Amino acid sequence: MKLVAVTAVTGGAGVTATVANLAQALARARHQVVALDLDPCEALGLHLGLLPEADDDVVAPRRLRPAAQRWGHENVGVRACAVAAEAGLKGEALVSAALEDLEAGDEAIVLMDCGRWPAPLSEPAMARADLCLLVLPPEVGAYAALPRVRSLLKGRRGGVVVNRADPSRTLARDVLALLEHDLDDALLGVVHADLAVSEALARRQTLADYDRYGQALRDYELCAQNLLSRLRDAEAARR
Amino acid sequence: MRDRADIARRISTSLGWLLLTAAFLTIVVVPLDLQQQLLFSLGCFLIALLLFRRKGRLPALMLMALSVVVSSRYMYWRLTETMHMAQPLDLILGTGLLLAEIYAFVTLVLGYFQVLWPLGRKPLPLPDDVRDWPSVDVFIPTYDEDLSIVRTTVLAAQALDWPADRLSIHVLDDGRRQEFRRFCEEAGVHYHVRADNRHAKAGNLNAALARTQGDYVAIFDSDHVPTRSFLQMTLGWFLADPKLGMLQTPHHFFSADPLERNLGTFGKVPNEGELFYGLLQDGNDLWNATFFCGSCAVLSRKALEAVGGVAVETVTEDAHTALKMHRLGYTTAYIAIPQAAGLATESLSAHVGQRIRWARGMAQILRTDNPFSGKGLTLPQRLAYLNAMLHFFYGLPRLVFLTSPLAFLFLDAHIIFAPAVMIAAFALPHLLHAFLTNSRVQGRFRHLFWNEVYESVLAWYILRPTLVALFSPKRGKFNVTAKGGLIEQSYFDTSIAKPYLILLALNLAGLVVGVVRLYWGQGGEIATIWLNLGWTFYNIVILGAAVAAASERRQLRKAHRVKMSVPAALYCAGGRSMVCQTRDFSTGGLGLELPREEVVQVGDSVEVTLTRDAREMRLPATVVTVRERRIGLSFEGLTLAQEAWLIACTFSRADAWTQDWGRHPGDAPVRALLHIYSVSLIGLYRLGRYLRRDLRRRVGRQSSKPATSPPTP
Repeated sequence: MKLVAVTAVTGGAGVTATVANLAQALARARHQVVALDLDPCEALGLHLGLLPEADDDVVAPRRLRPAAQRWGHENVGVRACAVAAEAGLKGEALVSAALEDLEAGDEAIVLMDCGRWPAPLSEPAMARADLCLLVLPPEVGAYAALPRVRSLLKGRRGGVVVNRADPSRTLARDVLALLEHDLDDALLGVVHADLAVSEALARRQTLADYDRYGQALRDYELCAQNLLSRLRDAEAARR
Repeated sequence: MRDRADIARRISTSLGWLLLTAAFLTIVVVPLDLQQQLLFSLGCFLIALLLFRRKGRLPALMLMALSVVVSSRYMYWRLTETMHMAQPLDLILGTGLLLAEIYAFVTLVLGYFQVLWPLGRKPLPLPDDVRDWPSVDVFIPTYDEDLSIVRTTVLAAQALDWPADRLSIHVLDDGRRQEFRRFCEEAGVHYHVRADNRHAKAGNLNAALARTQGDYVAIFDSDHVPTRSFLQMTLGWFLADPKLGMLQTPHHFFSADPLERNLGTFGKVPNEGELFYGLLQDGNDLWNATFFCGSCAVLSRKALEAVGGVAVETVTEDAHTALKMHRLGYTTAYIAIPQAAGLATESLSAHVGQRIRWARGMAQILRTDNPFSGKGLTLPQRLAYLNAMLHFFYGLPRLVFLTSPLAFLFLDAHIIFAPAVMIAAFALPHLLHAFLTNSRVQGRFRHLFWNEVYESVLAWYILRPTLVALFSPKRGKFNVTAKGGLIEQSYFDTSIAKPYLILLALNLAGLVVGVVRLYWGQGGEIATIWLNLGWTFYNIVILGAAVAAASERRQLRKAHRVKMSVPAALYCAGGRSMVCQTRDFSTGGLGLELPREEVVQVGDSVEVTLTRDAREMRLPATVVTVRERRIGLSFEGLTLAQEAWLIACTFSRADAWTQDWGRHPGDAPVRALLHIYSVSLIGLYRLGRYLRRDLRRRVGRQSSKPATSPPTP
């Protein structure tokens, strides 16, 4: 398994949307992908086309019960890991158990939605991950949080995805330029603000089905390409 | 020892040259009878045909050598064998033709010399440390050009990739316009006016030179938009060669000049400028004789000050300034990469006016500062300048060639005193070799016969100014060329076309007379009649094409589109986006190719994202055309920052012009001949239609006159 932990240092950065769309982009590029929800909000299923009320399985609490094997869009495997599991497992043990339970092959890429850092499972997930992605909106608050981003990425392989960039606004353009300048190599990609992302969610369609030619779709594809190349680097370094 | 080896080498080199000269002279002067001459010509031509297909520079050089030998032999024969006329009329007309031929021969040989080995100079990298880069002043002189044209140039100059503390931009406004001053303030560039307008552009530049301090001066005519890479591509050579006084880059035009538009050759056949900037300047560069062309060039302040600023004595201040630098031992350089582009002159009359100015200026330099005399020039430099100046005297010789066969057909004058077969045996090889060699050497930059067309269009107009300037260089006025207008209706420019309409009529009459003489004449001289008929026919073809050039085609689109394919994103109302590709751009417009149809409608307000240096800006635009997946956007009401961004993403791109420039397919003599035939036929057809319409209008006016009263204004 290739493990990728996705988190953020500010609220509302769009971690879940990023995981869902990256997973779909990777799946379209014919990679085996599992999206694992470690976020207490448990919204990943929704982003991948599963409705909570329709699928009791997804949220039904059992002893460390990942969602019943449910395939959302195309060939993205999604598992929701009920954090409030009454089994009493916590932290590292919970993450390990969840990953084991996936029974994914060596080639599978597991994208872990860790929610906003620090979440109950974000530290252990990041400790296990081959790559850590941080989602950052191009806003002043996010720029101010850059030192934290750096400290989180320190000693880890990873990158930053700037989400909802809007070049039509001067301030957003300038912050984006600052981020790009300061992040330099750490930047994995920039995803533009695109109405199609939330509209696709509302229609329970994948972004690609909803809008084949949108800017955000293209951006996620580029991010996925960069993610793959960094995973290859990580693997090469490990050997 | 070394001395002795050196002497030996010198002796052997001299001997080699001596032998070569002797062989050359022998071939040129050896008398041959008709059969031998034919055999010799055939042999030479076969060798030339073989060489024509071979790639590389050596075959081209050998072709030139062959052509010089064959043409020299022809000229020797012409001078020694064909001038024994008894009739005074024959002698007078014959001498005229001979002089014209000598002119053509000299320019042919000088032309070969000029392009012996085009240097193909590449840009030199600048120092790694930006602090070692010199300071540059960018001058944008303007007089009466529209602000909409000039602002593009100014904003593009601001986008030049150069350290900001070492780059200052100066608009030199001889028109003293308030709107220019306001724009310059807003854009943050220097605005200069001076007390008077003495010496026009040269004076304008000199006035600005006195007020600035930069190490180097880059000059752009107000309608020549530089690419961002201009300075980085050019200044490296100045740092490497401290004696470098001037570096020129090509003048590239993204709109069709009037000849190209009327002949329908834009983008298909190289225009006049392409030969000069593609080949001649590159050839001059080898001889350290690159000319300054007034724009798209960098000059060193030191060299400019050494020659007393931009020359003011002649109307072609640019060429004269470079000549003065050469005399003082400064070098010049040429880089054949288009790093700026502009609009070509709009109407034929403006085009002709511009050429007249160049011709006058060159004639003035020849008189006031003759490059063949005076100090400081090397022999190749003198030859290169001489060729450039002689070039503009083609007016009279061209008219002579266009009328020569008529002397025999109308007046029965024998202007070449030789049997027709001998003329054919000597003259045809001379012409064919010249055609073939030029086609091989100039192929990518000029196609066969087009030179004749261009010269025929201009011959009459250029004749008088050059002769006047030659005899009294101070007379005549400076005229500025107007650019960027519209031609709203197709029309026939009779006032411009009159000289060659007359020539055409004469040649057509000559053709008729010739045919009559052939069939109903007293016999005899059949070969001579055929020879002159052939010549007349050729003249008619060339004049037909010249006439086509004078029928002005309608030109409605104000902005000229330039191809550009880069990624962009379209944002429609409501925030949805669409990734797409650009197709072309123009001043204030952009063409997009969308991935699917029916996305937008005409009149929609949209935004388009353009990326530059991995940064983006969204620009508001209106959809003006929709054709399936292709849409056209028009930008209006952009802020200055947005406008600058648009220019930086379009006109300023380093590779904006490289794909169109000098990329013509090579010349193929037969195809060129067929093309010129078709253009000529079109010209004659248009002329016929125009004459018919004109006739009908006159007849109609006469017949209707008694019936109706004239309309009251």
